[in-house]
Amino acid sequence: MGRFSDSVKREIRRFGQSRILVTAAIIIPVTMTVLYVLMFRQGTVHDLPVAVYDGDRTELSRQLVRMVDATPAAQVALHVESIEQGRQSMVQGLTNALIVIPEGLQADVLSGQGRAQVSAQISGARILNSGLLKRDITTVFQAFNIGVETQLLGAKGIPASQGYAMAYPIAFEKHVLFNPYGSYAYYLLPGLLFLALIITVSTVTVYAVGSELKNGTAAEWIATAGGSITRALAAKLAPYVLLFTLLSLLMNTLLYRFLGMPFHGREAIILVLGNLFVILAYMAIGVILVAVSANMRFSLSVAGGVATASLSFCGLTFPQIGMYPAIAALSKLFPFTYFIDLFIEQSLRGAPPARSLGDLAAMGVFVLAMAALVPRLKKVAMNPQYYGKD
Amino acid sequence: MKRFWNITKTEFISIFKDGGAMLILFGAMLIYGTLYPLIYAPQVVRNFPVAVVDLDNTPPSRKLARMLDATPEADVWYEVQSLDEAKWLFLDRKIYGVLYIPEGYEKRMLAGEQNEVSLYADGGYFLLYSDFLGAVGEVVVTAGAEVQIGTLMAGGLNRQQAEWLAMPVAYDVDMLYNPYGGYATAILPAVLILIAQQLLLVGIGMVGGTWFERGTWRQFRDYSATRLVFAKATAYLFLYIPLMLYMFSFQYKFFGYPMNGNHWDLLLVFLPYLLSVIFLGLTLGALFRKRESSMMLLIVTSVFFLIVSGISWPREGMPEWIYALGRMVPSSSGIDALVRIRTMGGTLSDVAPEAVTLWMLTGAYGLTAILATIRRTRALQAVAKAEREDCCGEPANR
Repeated sequence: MGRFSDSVKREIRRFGQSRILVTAAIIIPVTMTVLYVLMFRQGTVHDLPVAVYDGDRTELSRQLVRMVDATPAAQVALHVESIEQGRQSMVQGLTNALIVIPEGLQADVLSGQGRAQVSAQISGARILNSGLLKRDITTVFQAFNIGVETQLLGAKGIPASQGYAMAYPIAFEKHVLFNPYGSYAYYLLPGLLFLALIITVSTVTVYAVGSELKNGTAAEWIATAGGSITRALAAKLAPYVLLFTLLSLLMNTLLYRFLGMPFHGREAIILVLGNLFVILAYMAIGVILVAVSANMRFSLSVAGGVATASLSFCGLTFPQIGMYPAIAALSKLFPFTYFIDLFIEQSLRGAPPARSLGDLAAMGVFVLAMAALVPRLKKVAMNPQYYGKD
Repeated sequence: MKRFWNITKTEFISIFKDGGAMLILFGAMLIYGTLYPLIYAPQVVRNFPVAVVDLDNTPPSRKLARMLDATPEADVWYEVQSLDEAKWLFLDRKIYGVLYIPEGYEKRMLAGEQNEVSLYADGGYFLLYSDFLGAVGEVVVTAGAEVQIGTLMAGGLNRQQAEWLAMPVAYDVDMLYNPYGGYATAILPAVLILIAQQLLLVGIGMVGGTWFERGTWRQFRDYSATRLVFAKATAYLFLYIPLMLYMFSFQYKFFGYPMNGNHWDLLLVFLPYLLSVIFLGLTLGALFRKRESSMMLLIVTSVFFLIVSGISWPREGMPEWIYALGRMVPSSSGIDALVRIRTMGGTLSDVAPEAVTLWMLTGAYGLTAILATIRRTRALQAVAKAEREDCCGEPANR
């Protein structure tokens, strides 16, 4: 145990003396965590500015405008004098959509000749905005039709309650599963926080191991551990496992306590295990890269790139069932894919813990792969020909 | 002027002889610029599996299920007898949505009463959720209109009149600039712009840190800091303008993103964008003491910068002060301006506020780059002076 604790002490000393490690492992991730949490604190998106061209200016057209304004997603921010001006406001980034009510709407409705029409043009340049607006504006147009028809039927002597049922024969009620407040933030924010965690894990691990090569201290590192690479590596990584686990607990505390994200799982421990395993898996990738390339700078660029790309592959932004099969297969090489699956299953879907054992095992495979490369790491570490390279 | 080109040349040589910097500045730009579009290349998810719980099992209820199956978005893979069964399919990720048709659907329809169907969607997949909602909404409105037309015609109207009355105000909801609501078309242009910034920052920082490690700075310690900054910036500008034009023309064409706007307007935004990024990179590069500092400190910021720009999570969903803080990063205004020109066909005057911000950032970061460079050259001059004074005593300690 003496050699192990000596090695741990040596690592803690190295860490404390390295401004870059303290900044990269503590200051930056904590700052980013706080910023992300404040950024998504509000959780939902509403009142996206839209422009309205009301060429009719009647009671009926104003009613439609009020209905658009009352939706959760849209807010009428601009009344424009022409369609051209409305388009311009979109291109200038001032609005996200344009509602067009042509002149004669009310007269056309009353004439009953089927000429009345309205339209919406939504900017598709921002996918979340356009999705929300398309949903709400379509709903408004449908509701507007139901209202107008009920009134027209009323004019024919059909009482409003019966008229409403006639105008709206099939109603639908929507239930959003696994997302009580219908907020995408519940999925996006944890994804972003844990992404920041695994990027930090990747770069810091590569630096902690790789700098021994760059500075030519690798032989001394292994000597401190009594010549055992396993002990040397375990003692080196142990403080970081603790540090990153604490970081992940901070993230979870902020998510579940501060932001009040619901936890539907049965066992919080499986989530904590998931956190631990994803940390270990990205550490393993870092160690593997250094062992194979014997080059810290190269390992850093690859480890950083792999960790960052994990977000796109994990399916949180673009679902895996929509990806090309080859890309979906490639996503299995990223531990984050398994972690996000575990997180969604356990935290949001409330699946039985046993369902996520496969995810834990898959992340464990990366650690086994690292174990297989430990002898190679020792060879590299003991050979001064690999020292001082960049 | 000769000195100017001498610095530019040294910077060029530093980049081209440095495998690490080349990998970041060129290799990574090409790898990421191709890999990310490939992940999102299918753009939309078509025919995702859903289930129908049809407790009525009559011709009209079966028709509703068939209509849902016929939408481009959803495919009815399972017809189950209870919501409980559907729930298990959901948890097994066999399906991403459920349409529930209650018992008595046909009976109520014939009696002229209102029916209520329910849809269950997975709130975890924003795209699938909105698509499924849209598809069911479409189906229900179409089926509802048919029911109404039937009722109204039975009441004595002719078909034309019944159609008019069933939908008194025809409507259209169009997506501009991205007709199919594609994910890649919306996100990738922003990602490419951001990647350029991050790789430039990391690459310049790496060269700056390497110059410190290897003592290359000493060679230029007596040069004016302004000249150093502008000469170095020229080198990166020469490298990146062609690379960006390649990304924004060839890659765009290859992946089929909208190519609107005028090339000159595009170039006139790229100029302050790249310059402000390069100056920010030179500021950081003159502070870094190690080759790997830039990677350790900057890689993790990439996704944050993308989000704070407001392109993937809207400005209206975050506190205004965070959004404002984000404007200090060139990518925020750069993404806004370039997307509005390239995707939406805007002109330079449409993006004037963003262009002004970028020029202001260029000025500010140009100044910090000069100050950081002065700090570094002064320190080296002081060391050199101390060495000269020491020369007659002990040999200078290197």
